[in-house]
This record gives sequence, structure tokens and C-alpha cells, in this order.
Amino acid sequence: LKQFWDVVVKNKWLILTVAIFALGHILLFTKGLESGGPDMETYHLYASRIVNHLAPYRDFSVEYPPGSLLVFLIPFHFAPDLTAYGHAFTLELLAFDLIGLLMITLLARRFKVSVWVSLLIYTLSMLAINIIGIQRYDMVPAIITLAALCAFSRGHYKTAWLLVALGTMTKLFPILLVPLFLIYQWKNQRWQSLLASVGVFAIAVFWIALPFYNMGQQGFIKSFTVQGSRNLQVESTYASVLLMGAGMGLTQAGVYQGPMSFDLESPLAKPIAKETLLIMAISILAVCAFYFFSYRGFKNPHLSRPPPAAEMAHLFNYAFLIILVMMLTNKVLSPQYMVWLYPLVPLITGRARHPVWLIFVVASWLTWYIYPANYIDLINREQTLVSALFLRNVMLVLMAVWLLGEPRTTEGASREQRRKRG
Amino acid sequence: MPKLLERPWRYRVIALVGMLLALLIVTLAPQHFSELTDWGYLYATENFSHGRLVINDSLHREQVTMVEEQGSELVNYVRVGDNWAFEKAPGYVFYLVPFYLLHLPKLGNTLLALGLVAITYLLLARLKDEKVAVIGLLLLIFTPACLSMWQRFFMDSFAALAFSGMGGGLYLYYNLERARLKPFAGGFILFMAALLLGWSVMVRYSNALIVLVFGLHFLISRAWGWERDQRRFILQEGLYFGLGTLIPLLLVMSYQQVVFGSPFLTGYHFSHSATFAWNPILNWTGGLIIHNNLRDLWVPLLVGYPLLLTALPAMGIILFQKIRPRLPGKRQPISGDPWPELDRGSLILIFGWILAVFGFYVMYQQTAIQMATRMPFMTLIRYYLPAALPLTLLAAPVLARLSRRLLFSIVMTAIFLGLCFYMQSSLTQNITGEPETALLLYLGLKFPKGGKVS
Repeated sequence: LKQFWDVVVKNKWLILTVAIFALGHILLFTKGLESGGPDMETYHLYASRIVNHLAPYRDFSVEYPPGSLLVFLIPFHFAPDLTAYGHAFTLELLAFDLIGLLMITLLARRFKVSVWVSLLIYTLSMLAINIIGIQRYDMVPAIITLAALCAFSRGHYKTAWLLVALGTMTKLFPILLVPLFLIYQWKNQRWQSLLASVGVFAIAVFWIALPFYNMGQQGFIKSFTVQGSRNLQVESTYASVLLMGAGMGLTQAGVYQGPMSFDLESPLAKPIAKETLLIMAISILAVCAFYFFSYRGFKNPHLSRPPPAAEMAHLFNYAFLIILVMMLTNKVLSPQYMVWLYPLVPLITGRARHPVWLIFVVASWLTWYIYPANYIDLINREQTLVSALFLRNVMLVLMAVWLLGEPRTTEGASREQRRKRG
Repeated sequence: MPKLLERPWRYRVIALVGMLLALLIVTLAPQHFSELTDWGYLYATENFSHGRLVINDSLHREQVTMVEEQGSELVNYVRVGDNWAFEKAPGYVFYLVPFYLLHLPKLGNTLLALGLVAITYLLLARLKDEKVAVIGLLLLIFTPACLSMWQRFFMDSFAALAFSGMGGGLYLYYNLERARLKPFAGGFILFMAALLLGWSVMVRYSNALIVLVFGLHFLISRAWGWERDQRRFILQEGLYFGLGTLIPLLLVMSYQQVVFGSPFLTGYHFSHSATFAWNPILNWTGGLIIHNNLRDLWVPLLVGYPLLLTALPAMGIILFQKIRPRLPGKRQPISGDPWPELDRGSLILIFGWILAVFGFYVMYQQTAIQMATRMPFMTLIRYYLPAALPLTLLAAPVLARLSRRLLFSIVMTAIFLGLCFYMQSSLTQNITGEPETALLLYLGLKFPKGGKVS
């Protein structure tokens, strides 16, 4: 007890800071933002069907991977009524958000960046993302992604891969960490740990997927492939360029209600939509190649555990970048995708750190302005909304360019370190 | 020739290329008369060029019919007694008349742009260096609102920026160079600064607030010098400054005497169309108008002025770093003032300039009642254009401190966005082409619009 008390006294300001921010997040989630939203009914429906012994993927179709079903079921256990379910769902997300807050505190200390500033950016980002953050379940895979990175940065590679598997089975995007982890472990000559890690990932995916696959093979596969059959969603990068071009009279573009979203109708929309998978694959490979070659500077691949903070800061930048590039090259850029980046933003390091923070907060704010605040005006192709969407997407591209051009921060993840050197 | 690749020639060449590019795209875009006010300025210029400051009923009817045949309305003429008079400030029309008579109305805004660019470059180069000058210049001219209003030559917005920018820029430059300038040159610069500032009020009455800020700065800063026994010099300065502002003031008062019957009456007195902090029809109070403007205008403002993305953080950074050493327990940093180029007086003036524009138009009821997301952004945000130069003065020095790669990407993105939003705005045939009359807007009715969900 004395030891614990000593730790508390030693870190009293840190604990106070974290407590204040945690309180702010609790107030924001419970009082500041409105729970519910159109997707909540779907989540509630899935949960109620499962409780009524209907098998997902077989008796009813689900558009998300199987891990998401657990996220939908937990609040249903406490609140079967739809309105109460919305509140319970928010509390579930709050729990994940607070876990994220703690992890950011730990990582900020590890990267030797200001905890106070990191938590402030975390909070500002949440404020900018607004209700999108609590009305969709994307917070869960986003925090799992952060947890995977956190575990990796502490040298717990197998745990990190397990978390990536869990995240991938909740929403597909955490799989983007796999090539980065592979490159890092391979470059640092961790062959044994790499094999074990990949094994853990494969087994975890297999164990989660198998029962659901057995239940309904077609439905299960469809839950992963359904996104591929979509057309150009109106908020995607490609659609925003076409809408802008249409505003200048360079091309034609209209908006129609597609099977899953509002999509773009244009002579160029279908050909572009066909090629997006290829564009996305090439872009992601390019990011991986950049990450791979950015290791040329490491003269002495180390085998230390945990890995050096500067290398992990570099990995965090690339994790953010690879998700961002996927978002930008995908034919769908739903507003909740901003939540994927939300826990990673405070931990961006390097020269572009402050501009990236600013751009992310403004881009998230614009995202909320477009959806849900004024979506009907975007569908009607009002000039202001089309311009706002274009501005948002250009800012996201700019953010990606900055991070891609960011040199490896091996010697200075933070200003404090640079000061010490200087 | 190799000299062109060296500093500072490199920056001058970049500035020239940027200016030529802006000139090219502004000149090539067609003139659509996309708002009703464009027609008002066209006919006011036509009438003024024939010496008709007021027009009779039959001529007004004829002009109204001509505009209606073009599918628009002539709304900027108000009835004054038996005649009709131009509702808006006459300064831009007076300025435009010679170019109109030469059949070169586009030249008016182009000359203003050249003047603004030259003074902005000169000022920023004096504040810091030519690198900052070229950054600021590119940010300013490729601001979508700036390009768009430069292109619309039958509209006062660009002139409101250019006259206040040139005047304000010269005044700031004079203050920085005051000790080094010869009496005649200094006096001439100060006189021109005051004349241009005064003329900007003739172009747009609301610019009077900007002039007020400059006037207060002049009075307070000279009051300090008065103590230090510079009385003769200060009296001379007062004479130049006073004379400069008085000429446009007398001109506009004479115009108002002739047209409206009193030097203190403006066209708005007869139309009641421009009210601030109060909506006479909906009985909205200032608080509600400010709330609506703050709620609805931030995205149109961001689109029209991407410059804000750098200027607002720059404002915060500069203020914080200036105030920080004065906070209790904080020591003066070893390197001294991090922004020596922006002394306290200049900084207060720049902030006051921004506040005079934003603080005033945030109370404008007309933008508060528009459905911001359904109106083209340029219609709503062009009023804020006179603040573009002070925003640039804050953004450019901060941007110049970024790494070369970041700086390049930001400036290129600013140019790209400027061109895109300008083209989108200027190529639109008719900004108010929707069936939304003023009355229906007041009633808050929404119309189904084109480009439906199919």
C-alpha cells in the first residue's frame, strides 16, 4: 500500500490531468452528445435477433464481421428497449474511449510528448467528430487498433497480433496493421517472434470466424465482400472531385440512393468505381514500400525489448497513414471512418504534428457539418456543401502527403528530446 | 539571366508568375452578373458616366425592363422624391466611370489588384523578408473570395478590399519606415494612405470602422510621441493624415447632399435594406443574428477564405508567444521576442482591422436569414473580403517558419483550392437563380432544388 501511495504521490499531477480529461469525456458522452441515430436500430435489430435464437449470416444477413455482434449484444443484455439500448451503447463506447484515454497517456509518456497536449487533442478530436463518434460502433475497432499498437510498442508482439485479429473481426480496417508489423519484425530480425505472431493472428481469426462460417457460409463471406460491390459513395474522394468538376461544367454528376448509401451518378463514376480496388491496393503497397525503405537508416537493427520509442513513434505515423490512404482511395468514405483515426491523432510525431492535428480537427468538424448536419444539401449538390466536401478531402490528402514526407523520427519523437539534444 | 534564380529575384519571379496566372484566369472567366447587385453597379456606372447621379422614373423603368429581359432584377435603385438614386456608396462607381468610358471596365479591378499586390509585397518584405512577401502575396491573391470578386468588376467587394488594403498597407509601411523616410516622401505616403483609406469608405460605408481603427491608432500613437517633444513633426503628420481622409469624406458628403438632400443621408436610409444586429421584419435581436451567423457561416467562410486555416492558428500562436513572457513566473526567452517583425502597435492595428470587419459583419442580419448551406458561399462571405489582407499579414510570417516541404505543400494547396473554388463560383451562371425571393427567404421557406435524388 505504501508503494502504491508513493506512486500516486509521485504522479499526482498526471493522475489529476487524466482524471479531469476522463471526467470531460464522461460528461461529453453522457450529457453533451445525443445517443441513438439511424444505425442504432440496425444494431438493436441484430442483437434482438440473436437473443431470439436466430443465427447471424444464416437466418438474417449482417453487413459487419462477426466480432461486431458482441459489441451489439452487450448493451442489449442491459437494455432491450431501443431508446435505453442507445444509452447503453453509448456507455459501452465510453468505456472503450476511456481505455483509449489511458493508453494515450501511457504512450505519450513513452514517446516523451506532453500528456496534457495529447489528451487535449484526443478530446478536441472527439468534440469535432461529434455524434458520429457515439452513434456508430467504429470506436471499438479504433481503440482495439490503438491497443494493438500499444502492445506492439511495449514488445508484446503476440498480444498485438491477437488484438489485430480481434479488430479485423470487428471491422476490417485493422488488418492494415499487418504489413507494418510484418515489416518491422522482419527488419529487426525477429524471425521466431514473427512466425509465432502470425500464427497467433491466423488462429485467432480462424477461431472467431469458423463458427459463423459454419452457420452461414454465403452470408458470412458476403459480410466481407458486400462493400466491394458498392458504387462511388457521394463523400468519397473520387466523388468529391467529380462533383467539383460538375460544378465547373467539366463533367456531369448526380446523386442517387444506392443500396447502402447515396452514390454518385456520372459517366465517370462506374469506370472509376471498377478501378478503386486496384488503386487502393497500389496505394497501400506504396505506403508499405515507403515504410520498408524508411528503415535503410537503421544501421544496427536492435533486438531490444521493448523497441525504442522513436521507432514506435515512426510506426504510429505509418499506422495512421496507411488507414488514411485506405480511406482516401476507397470508393466509400463514410463519416464514421474519421473515428478510425481518432485515437491515433494525438500520437502523431514529427514536424507535421501540429498541422496534422489542426487539419484533423477541422476535417472532422467539416465531416460532421456535411453529415449529419446538412446531408440533404450535399445530396442536392448545393455549391457550399460540395465545396466543403472537396475542402475536407483535400485536407485529408494534404495530411497524407505530410506524413508520407515525414522523415524517420529515430532521434527525436518529441520536442523535449530535440531540446535535450540542442 | 542567372540572377533571376538567385534570391531575392527568385521570389520576385514567383510573385510575378503568380500574379500573371491570377490575372489570366480572372480575365478569361466570363462575366455572369450572378447577383442582383452586379446589375445595380452596371447601371449606376452607365448613369454616372452620363453625369446622371439620379435618374427619372421613365429611365428607371426602362432600365428595370432591360434587366428583367436578362432574367434578373434591378434592385439597387431607391426612390428619392420624384427620382431614383443608387442605394450603395458611390466610390467604386466614380472610380469605374473612366474605365467604362474607355470600354475597359475590367481594367479597373486589375489596376486595383496590381496596386494591392505591390503594396502587400512591399509591406511584407519590410516586415520580414521577400520570402514572407511572396508567401503572403500568393495566399492573398489565390484566396477564392479575392479571385472571385476581382473577376466581378461590376461589384464593389474587391475595391473595398483593395482601397482599404492599399491604404492600410501604406500606413503600416509608413509607421515602420517613419524614422528613415525623408519628410516629403513620408508625408506623401501618409497622405496617400489616408486618401486610400478614406476612399475605401466611399466604396463601402462599413469600411468606416476600419478607418476608425487606423484613426485611433494614429491618435494614440502620436499622443505618445507628443510627450517626447516631437510636436512639430506630429502636427505635420496630422495635417497629411487629416487632409487625406478629408478629401473623400467631403466628396461623399457632397454627393449625398446632391442626391439625398443631406450630407448625412445615405441610400440605405431610403431602402432600409441593410440592418445590423436587428432584423426589422422577424424582430430578431443582435444575439440571435450573431448566433445564426456564427452557426451557419463558418463553413462558407472556410471555403471562401482557406487562408483562415492558417491565419487563425497564427493569431493564437503569435498572441500566446507575445503574452507568454509577461505571465507571472515566466522568464523572457533567451532568443527574445519571437515575432520582432510584428511590434505591439502593428499587431494591435492588424487585430483591430480584422475585428472591424468580422465583428461588424457577424451582426449582419442579411447573412443570418439566408439558408447558408443553400446559398452559394460567395454570396454570404464576400462582405468579409476587406479582412483578407490583415489575415495574410498574420499567416505569412508563421507559415514562413515551417519546413520547406510543409510550406511548399501548404502554398500549393492554397493555390489549388483557390483556383477550384474560384472556378466553381465564377463559372456558375446565376447565383441567385433559384426561385427564392427576398420575401420567401424572410419567411424561411425552403424550395426543392435542382439535382434531385433520382
